[in-house]
Amino acid sequence: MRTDPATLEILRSHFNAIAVGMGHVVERTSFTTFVKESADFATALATPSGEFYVYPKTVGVTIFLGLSLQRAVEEAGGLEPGDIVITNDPYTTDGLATHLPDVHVFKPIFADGELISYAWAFAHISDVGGLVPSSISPQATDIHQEGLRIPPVKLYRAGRPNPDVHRLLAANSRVPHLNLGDINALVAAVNTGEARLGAMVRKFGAAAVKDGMADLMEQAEARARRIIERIPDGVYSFADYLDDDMSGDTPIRLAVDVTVSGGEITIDFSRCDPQARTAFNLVTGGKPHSFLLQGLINYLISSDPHMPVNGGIVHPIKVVAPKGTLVNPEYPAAVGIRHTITMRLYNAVLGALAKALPEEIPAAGAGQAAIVVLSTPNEEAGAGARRMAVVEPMGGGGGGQADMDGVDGIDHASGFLKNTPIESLEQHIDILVHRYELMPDTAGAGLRRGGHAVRLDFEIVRPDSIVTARGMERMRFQPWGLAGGRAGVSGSVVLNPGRPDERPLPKISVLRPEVGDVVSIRSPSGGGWGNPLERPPELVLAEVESGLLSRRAAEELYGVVLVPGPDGRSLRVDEARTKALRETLAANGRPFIDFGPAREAYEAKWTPEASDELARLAHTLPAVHRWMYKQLVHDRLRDAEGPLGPEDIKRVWDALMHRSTKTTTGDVQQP
Amino acid sequence: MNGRYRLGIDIGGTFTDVTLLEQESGRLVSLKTPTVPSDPARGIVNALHRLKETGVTPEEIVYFVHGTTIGLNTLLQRKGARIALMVTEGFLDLLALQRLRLPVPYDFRSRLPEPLIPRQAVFPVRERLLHDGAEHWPVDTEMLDRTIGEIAEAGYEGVAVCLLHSYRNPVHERQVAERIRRLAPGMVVCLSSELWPQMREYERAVLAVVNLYIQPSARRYFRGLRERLAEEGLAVEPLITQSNGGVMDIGTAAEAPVRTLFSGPAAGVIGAVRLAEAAGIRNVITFDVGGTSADISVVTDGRPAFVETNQVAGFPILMPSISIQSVGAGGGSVVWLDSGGLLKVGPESAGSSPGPACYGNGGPAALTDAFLLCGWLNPGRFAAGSVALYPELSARALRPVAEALGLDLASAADRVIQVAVANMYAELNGVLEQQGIDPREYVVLAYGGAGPLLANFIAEEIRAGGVLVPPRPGTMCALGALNADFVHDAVRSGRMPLAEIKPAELKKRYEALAAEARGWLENQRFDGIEGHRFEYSMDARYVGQSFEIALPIDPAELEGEDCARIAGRFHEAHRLQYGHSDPGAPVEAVNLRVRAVGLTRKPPLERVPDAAGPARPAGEREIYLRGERRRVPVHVRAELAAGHEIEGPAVIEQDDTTVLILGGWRGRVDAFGNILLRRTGEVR
Repeated sequence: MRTDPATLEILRSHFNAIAVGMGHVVERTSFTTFVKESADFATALATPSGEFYVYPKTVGVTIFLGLSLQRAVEEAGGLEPGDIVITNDPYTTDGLATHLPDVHVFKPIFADGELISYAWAFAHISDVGGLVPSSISPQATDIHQEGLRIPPVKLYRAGRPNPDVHRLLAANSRVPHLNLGDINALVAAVNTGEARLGAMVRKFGAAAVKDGMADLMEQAEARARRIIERIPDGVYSFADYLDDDMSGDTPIRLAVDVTVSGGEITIDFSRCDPQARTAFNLVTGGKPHSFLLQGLINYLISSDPHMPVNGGIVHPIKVVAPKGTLVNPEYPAAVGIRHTITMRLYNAVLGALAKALPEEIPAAGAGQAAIVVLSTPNEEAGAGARRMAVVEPMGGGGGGQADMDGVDGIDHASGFLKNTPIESLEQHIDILVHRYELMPDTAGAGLRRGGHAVRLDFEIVRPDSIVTARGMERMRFQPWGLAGGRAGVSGSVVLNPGRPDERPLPKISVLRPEVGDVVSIRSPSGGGWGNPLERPPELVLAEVESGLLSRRAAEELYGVVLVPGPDGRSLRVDEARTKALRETLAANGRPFIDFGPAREAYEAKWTPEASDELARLAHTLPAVHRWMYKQLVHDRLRDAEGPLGPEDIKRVWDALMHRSTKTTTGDVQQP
Repeated sequence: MNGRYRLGIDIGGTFTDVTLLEQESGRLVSLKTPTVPSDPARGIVNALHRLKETGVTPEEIVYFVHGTTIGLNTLLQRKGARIALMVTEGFLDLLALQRLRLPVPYDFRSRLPEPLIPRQAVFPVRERLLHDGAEHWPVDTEMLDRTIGEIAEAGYEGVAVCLLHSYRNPVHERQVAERIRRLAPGMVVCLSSELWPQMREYERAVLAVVNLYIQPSARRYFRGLRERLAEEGLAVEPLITQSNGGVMDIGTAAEAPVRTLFSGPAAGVIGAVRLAEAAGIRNVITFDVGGTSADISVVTDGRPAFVETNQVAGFPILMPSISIQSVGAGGGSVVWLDSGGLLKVGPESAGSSPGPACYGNGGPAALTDAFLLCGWLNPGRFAAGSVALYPELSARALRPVAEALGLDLASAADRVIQVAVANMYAELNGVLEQQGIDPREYVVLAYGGAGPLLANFIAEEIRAGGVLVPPRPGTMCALGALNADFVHDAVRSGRMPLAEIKPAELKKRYEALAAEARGWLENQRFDGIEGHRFEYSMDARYVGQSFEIALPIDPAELEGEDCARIAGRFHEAHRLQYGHSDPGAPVEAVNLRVRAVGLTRKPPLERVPDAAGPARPAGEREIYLRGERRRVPVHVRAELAAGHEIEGPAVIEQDDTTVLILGGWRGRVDAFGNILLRRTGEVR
């Protein structure tokens, strides 16, 4: 280290004050609910090489910490003092922006003519055009359907606004004034960052400030390495699934091979499915993009809560993400729903680590961040005008972990979500919420149980109402339980629960219910951790008393027998019968990782080996064709008997290839 | 109000602080008696006995004000009442779901705070109002009666009620209360619509729950206190300080103890405002550094900043309180090295017991030890000589850290202080950015035991205009309480589009609120209210926004045909705060607020005599300051007189604190004995 430990701590405080202060500027001056209520924005300072050396822990969203400005800087051309760059385009920034509503703004900071840092800010703005209002549609099939792409261009040139860019942006949004309000807030934030860092350079000197940046990066890196060194060397593999791609019922498989070697960790995504034809793609440029690594980053920070939070944390992490996979798609794949991939990768990476460190890793949480949106006609604002409101963001229970139960109703992977007060929601839009409550008997059982699922029921009160819910997941495959804990429940949607016309609904894409219909959305819950038969009976009793666990479930899942106490009302544990029941139940062994019946059934036919083989074969084709052929193979094998082996896949594949070279276009090559 | 004395009492962990104010002269007398933790009122009675010995009889006391932490402690220690909550059916987990967002989503162990009421004590009421207050489903009375039976049978001490949209129309909550009164007479009920009728069901429910949770212990304490004081011959109704900086009588406090939660620091800010006003300073950043935290607030043009919601123990308290940011850095903050070898100070605190290592009670190395090792403190006269300090214990405790840093003890101690200053700066900077303030126009007002030692550093960091050190930095809370007005806040929520609503209608609503507030004032059992003031304001926003701007309203604006003037001022306020506005967009009010201020007479502030000659230091001391060892003059505060000037670097010693003036700064004593520090040169 160039800087002594006391000075470094002082510099850290000052850098942090700048980054947090920038965040407050965005909060204070931005315009939209996305920013003010949902806090969907972030601010940070980057090194001249484009890595974030300070990233606030408590203001804004947390998942951008390992990103790099490097490519965006190159694309923007030479930068001079007073320039401010704006972009939202994943493909020309190596995934700095990950979907188009995320607008990024950065400004180079110079000291005596030398570039010493960048001030950066991003916010999710309301609308950048595209197929649907607010720009995100799961069914988009290329990025141009998702809105205006802004490659890194100069919003300000040498301190002067570039009106052409402003006009171009305004003409390409459904709500230009809202966008402009938020973009101005980002500009104010990077300007503040520049001014504050300038003051710091005057106080400490440019050399000390630059050394401080480098040392903080090194600190984070060294501390991350130290944690990784504690993980036993080896290769740990894990796969998890997304239910489907919203255009068919074929699951998306995310398989990772994590190799730990000393203080380094390599995550290989080569066995992941090919890029999707819909908006389920994450642009990373094949780099250690933090959206790939959120679970691992959280693990590292949880293990050393005082670690400086910056891009140095990802230095010990190598990534193999071949082009044409979902985690490194080729242009022009659509990307709007990329966060869903991130959520499941969170599970996949932690699942792999759990094989090495089960005591330190939580079971899977709900694994979704579904944004339920209601849109109603807004005649007062003119013909065709509509009003939109987020009904509630739906997460679901968190996973249990060795020393704690999972969180009810929210999962760490979606832990940044903030709900809307029902009173405020009903004032904003015509809706009647019937229920927003935890669901009894949903927590994945365990020594430490998962968090309970949450249920949201609302009644449609205006004709021509439309409900969307991007990001719904785990309606098929359950969140897994760990170390003997049980899987959590999957999510579901029900129309008119408890009424004669009750019926289940599929995952919501665009739903047009009638007036009087009640839409009931039930989230997944968290998986349990550890053997439920070892959960202290008094905790089981407490949960029954709370109304979140039935007596029957207490017996079946936990082997705890409860009987009425002497007063006839309260319950107590029948210790003798509990002991006996637990012994009986213990005879049925439980898997170390409990994936639940849906996944077991799926993998009984589509074995991991078969899926690996299909992914391998698909990667031999040009990226744009891969998904189609994956789907064709699944279609061909729809009625086949399991278990399928690699040879079955190869046989079908060869037959398909043979036909396609003979009969169709010439651009598909034989492998 | 013609009696001689006002008496203010604050109960701390170790000492009960007593401040006596002579009304005519403004002379303050302070004394400390040991706190009696098992019976805090006993400590107060002991103090009255001591005062009697000095010739102050209870009959001469015409104003008795008490800042209590009974409610706050009950909440923090979770030792409150066993109570139930009734909510609209379908929303049973209001208290568990909260607003969802985890405090630190990164951290696997980050959790939302455990609700104060377990789930089995939350009961559904089948009923529903719509957002405009209209009844959608009536209350299911059969089910209600059954539920009340269950609650009564289970022996809960009280019931809080929070039904959806009750802020708009309390009819269902009142119906529930009515049934409870009939079926379970004696059961204490707290209706969210009565306590604080503002939109947002979780926050409103928490408010009602917290209030009820802390009420029995607050009531018991208040009742006991009142009886004891009466026995002692004190004739006046005791007053209790509130989070909004005002006071209320003890009976009111017993009904709404939730209004006292942040009263301690709030009173300090009121004291600071009073003092700054006398010194002719309008813009102040208060900087109160005690043992465990540094509390920061902003006063602009003589008015403290308020927040609509404050946080305690992870719970939102949706009531106006003086905006105070607390940083986990104080004299007791523990010094440690983290796993990467970085030097850290706090947020753990050694508190007052065991206290820093130098107290000699086996405590760890803390910030106060660093002060001592740098020579800033005089070990012989810390806390007026009541606490002996042992520099050798400080040295022993800090040595491992110094060795790890490869520094001698004094240099290590100096670094410790600079790390603490940087922490405070980082937090303070966040406050300034949040409020959009230019610190050059502000003076840092330092109090608390360690505030005057560190304020000059902070003023340099943020480039504040100056530093003001009051004559008795240990008595600011008491000064505030002894000078406070009666303050009552009232609110009504609803959607009021400014383009549609008539000023006359707004006026009617304001007047209804004002009448409520006037009733509150009239019910205060205190005859020294010399006048009152009603401050109107509204929280307004553009239609579709979900955040509001607080807009003061001049009653004159409620005359006339439309609300165009108010809307115009909203656009302007939006532009000032956010840098942009949209004069074409519709504006709506969502909360109407009235603050009633019952004015009390302000005793004068004590004056100090004029200086007869230049200030003479009592001696010299070698101190270690920002990497340099140097001899500096040491002054005694009691000997300073109006007009004295002291060049930095210098140390000023007094009973309740030590003042450090940095090089490049000059202190000047004003007529009230304040020291105002200003730069001698240009701002860097």
